Amino acid sequence: MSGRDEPDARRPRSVYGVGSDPDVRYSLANERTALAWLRTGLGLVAGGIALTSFASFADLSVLLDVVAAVACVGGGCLAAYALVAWRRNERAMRLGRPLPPPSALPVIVVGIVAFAALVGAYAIWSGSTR
Amino acid sequence: MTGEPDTRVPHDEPAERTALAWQRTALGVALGCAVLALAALRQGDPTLAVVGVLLGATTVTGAVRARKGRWPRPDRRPWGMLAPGAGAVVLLAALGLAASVLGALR
Repeated sequence: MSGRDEPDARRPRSVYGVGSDPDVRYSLANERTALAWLRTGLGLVAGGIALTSFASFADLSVLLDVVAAVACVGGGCLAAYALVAWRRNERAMRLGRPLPPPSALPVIVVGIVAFAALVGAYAIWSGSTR
Repeated sequence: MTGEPDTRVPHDEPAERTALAWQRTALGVALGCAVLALAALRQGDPTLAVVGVLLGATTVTGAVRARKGRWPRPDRRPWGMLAPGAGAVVLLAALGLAASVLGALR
């Protein structure tokens, strides 16, 4: 299927075992998209770590540690999603099917809005109790 | 319109952009690990800091080795890089979660 003489031994077989190789530029673009998702997850994780570090540094509320923990979990989930999305898109391209929609996009928008609301509520609350 | 003719193969540029994306990602993981190590030291947890430093060092080493050995090759195997890369971010997320929980308990 891959146009080479030897059998295609690439993994995962659920991707490379079906269809034929698309234009390598599309495969590379798919890889970059997965990396962009990975970096988005990484940003959330780094933000969470920085937040918990800042909370301990300035002796702030436990609520910030909870928000940091949620950000870390969300970032880890996004990293896992990057793999799932890469596999799904590569498979669709090999089979000549339309690309599936980015299902994590609405979730991350809602998550970031909720994150901002939580931190904003905390800022207002801590300002009013001063 | 003078100058050297473009002798690059058509896929050089996308492969270069992808290699740069990998470098940015590896750098991000390494920086995240550094922030984690500092946070863990600040919280008085050297074990977490050492694990963070080891994860960062492994990521940088892996990125350098991949840079030397894999680009540009027509039969690239992105899964062999994507899965460990995502694993490193998930591991960093788990360490960050541990740091948050430890911070909340203090």
